[in-house]
Formats: sequence, C-alpha cells, structure tokens
Amino acid sequence: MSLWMMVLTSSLQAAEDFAQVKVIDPYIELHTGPGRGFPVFFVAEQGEWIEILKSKTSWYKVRLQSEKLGWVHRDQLQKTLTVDDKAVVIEDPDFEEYLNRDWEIGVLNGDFDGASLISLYGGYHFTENMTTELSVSQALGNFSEIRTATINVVNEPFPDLKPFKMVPYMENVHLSPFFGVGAGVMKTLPRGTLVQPVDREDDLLFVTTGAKFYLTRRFLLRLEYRHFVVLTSRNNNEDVEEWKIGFSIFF
Amino acid sequence: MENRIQYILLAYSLALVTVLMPMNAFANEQNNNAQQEDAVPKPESEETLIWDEASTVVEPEIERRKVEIAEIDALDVELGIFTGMMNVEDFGTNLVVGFNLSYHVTEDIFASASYGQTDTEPTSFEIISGIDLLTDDERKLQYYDLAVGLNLLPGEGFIGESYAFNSSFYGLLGVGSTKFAGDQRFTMSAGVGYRIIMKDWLVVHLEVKDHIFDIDILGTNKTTHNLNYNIGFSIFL
Repeated sequence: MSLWMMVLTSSLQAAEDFAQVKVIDPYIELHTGPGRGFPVFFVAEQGEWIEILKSKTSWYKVRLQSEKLGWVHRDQLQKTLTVDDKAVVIEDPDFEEYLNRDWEIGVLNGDFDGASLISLYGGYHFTENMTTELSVSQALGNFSEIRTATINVVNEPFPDLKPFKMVPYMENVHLSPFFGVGAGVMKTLPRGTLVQPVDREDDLLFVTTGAKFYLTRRFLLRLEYRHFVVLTSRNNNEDVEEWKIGFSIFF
Repeated sequence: MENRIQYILLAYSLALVTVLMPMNAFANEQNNNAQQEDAVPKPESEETLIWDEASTVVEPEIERRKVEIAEIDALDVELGIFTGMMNVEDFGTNLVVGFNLSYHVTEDIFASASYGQTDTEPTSFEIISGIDLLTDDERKLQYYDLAVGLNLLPGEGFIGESYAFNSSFYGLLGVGSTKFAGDQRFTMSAGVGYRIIMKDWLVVHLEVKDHIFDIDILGTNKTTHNLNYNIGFSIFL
C-alpha cells in the first residue's frame, strides 16, 4: 500500500514538472500514436496551453487542458511558445549535430580475407575532422574463427560533401571520406573439425579508408576498407585485406 | 564465397532502397507542406492581437513552470526478453530464451541486437546408429545477431469494445554468429514481427525469424534454415 502511495505521490510530483507550451498556429494535430501513419484524432486550438510529457523519435506526447492525450510531430511543436513567450526550439538531431557529434557507435559487416566479418566499433570525435576509434571484430571462415581488436585514428578532411545533388532521392545525402592508421591484435582459432588445431595470436598494423554517409537523424552509413599487415612470428609477414559496410548511430 | 558476397551486397542494397525511399518521400512531403504554408499569407498580426487581448481577460492566473524542452523524457531505447520455440535443422525443435536491445532511430527505422540460446536433440541418424556426433556441450546453441528493422503498417488493434492498442508490423534483416557443434558460424537472419504497444513503455512482440548458417558436421558443407518463433515483452527506457 505504502509503495503504491509512493508511486502515486512521485507521479504527482512529476506531473508538475512537465514543460508547458502555448499553441500559436490556428491548430496543431494530435495523432493516436508516435508516427505519421497513426490517424489524427483531435486538434489543439490556438492559444491553448499544452503539456509535453515524453518523446519517441521525432514525436512528442502531449496533454491538453481537456486531459486528452495525443502525439504531435516536432515540426508542429515548433509553432508554440514557452511560458516567457519565446518560440519553442526543440533540439532534434540533425546535420548540425552530426558535424558536432562526440560519440559514434556502429556495426559493420563484410569480408576479412575471405571470411565473413562482423565488426562493432565506437569512436570519439576530438574535432570535426579528427576521431579515434576502437573496434572488435569476429571473422568466421571455413577453417578458422579470427577475432581482432584494433585502435586507430582517422581524419575526415571534408566532413560536408554533397556529391549526389543531381541524383533523385539522393540530393540530401552528405558524404565524408576518411583516412586513418591503426594497430591491433588478432587471435586465430582454427575450426574444431580440423586436425591438430593450434590457437595463434599476432599483432596487426593497418591503414584504413572509407566514407560516411549521413542518412537521417542519428543515422550514418559507413563503408570501409582496411589493409592489414600481420606481424607473424614466422619469417614473412602477411598482408590481409578487409572491406565492410554498416550503420552507425551518433550522439 | 562469391555467393556470400553477392548475398550480403544484395541484402544491403535491398535494405537501403526500402529504407531510403519512404524516408525521402516523407521528407519531400514535409518540404511541400512547409512551402505551402509559406505561400499562404498569415493574417497574424490582427488576429493574434485580438486573441491576446481576449486571453488577458479570460485566462485565469495560473503560475506556469518553465521546464527545459531538452529535459523531456525520450523513449527511444527498448530492452526486452523473449521466449519461444526454435527449430535447428536435423537437431529438433526446442525452447529458446533470449533478450534484445533496440534503438529507435526514426519512426521507421530501428537497430536491434539480440541474443538467444536453445538446446538441441540427437539427429535421427544418431538415434538409429547409436553414434553420438556431438558432446552435450556442443549440443547447446547460442546465437547473437545485429539487425536493422523497418516499421511497416502502423495501425490500431482492438480487443472488444473498450480497448484499442497501437500496433505495427516490422521487418528485420541482420548478421551475427551462431555457436553450435563446437564452432562459431556466420549467420544471416531475416524476420518479421508484430508489435503491440500496451503502454507507452510496455510492448508485446510476436516474432518469426530465420537464422541461416552453414554447417559441416555431416561431412559436407550445408546451408541450414533454422526457424525461431517467439513472444517477447519489452520496455522503453
């Protein structure tokens, strides 16, 4: 019982903290769910005060004075005023934020010397042009499983190229080429079905190049090629090529 | 090898086309709307003024608190558990349990990581011949996959007269690895699901997913399709 009371009081306290905004357009539309496919079922009229409760992607759940609840798109909320009569500015991730991003994480899939590769990476942006990245990969081939962990520095000299202005549907695609160098370790685990399997660990040095495409909101497409030199304990070092493609999210 | 590269390229280009086309259509639509709105001259000054005067008369004195818009609770991350049945080709159908973590990038696209595990049974060959192909440890199957999902057909589902829930179908395409029979196996996954949004923070999923990987324990390399259907609950964080 006391637990319920606590939940109740905390929710009441929370209720006071919702942001309130005033509608200045003739009306704004309320959808039944957070998506353009959900139907419009009500409108908030000009001058009405509405409370913003929460958000999902670009949609905001609002409560009207009549206690009606619905979802409003960010673009419509821009047409409201705050308590001190200032226009509401909602910071939705966009290209500006992409250029000023700090963190980037992503998943890539491709080929590592003939083996199928899955790679996970995280990057920190020191500046618009300079990033350091950590990545772990698993490459699964017919004869062995190869795990790698790498660290590298990449430079993005042109973070804001728009090369597809003439192509339909691609006008707004931004491209940023990158170049970098790095080092890492590689562990080779031969398949269980092979005779006398022996695990092996080697160091890696590599150069990398590729491109990032800004798609929408917090979404990037990334293409990458790496050329590794495997520093083996044998007489000759090995060259290994890797290419991969994947998606990343930035913050 | 060639085939696999073609597979991957084809899958990515398909995913890209399906993702980019509706997104651009939406962006264009919004641009058009914005342009239309710009084209209509706004009778703002007079009407707003009248309304403002009226509001000073009608509106009660309520102290309104200013709260930063940036502090609004964003429900874009979804954490869930699931259970169901998974068929492993030649190795029977058994209970599967797992969890997943998703990030909703836009209303259309989400990224999802999942992990699941199941036990398997002896093959018919093993039962008839009495030879064990795998040890007990090797019979356990564990998989992870990293997928991109696309929300399709948003709508409402009704239960009786008084309850309506938002829902949507979604498609999933992913890559990952399956640990089975002593080795890690590269796995492609494809699935469809139905999501029922019970509360803003609570979702029920019904999902069917195919895990496609090669297996070589019977001598030759063979591509297997391993179907997994499950029910899951998840919460938005």
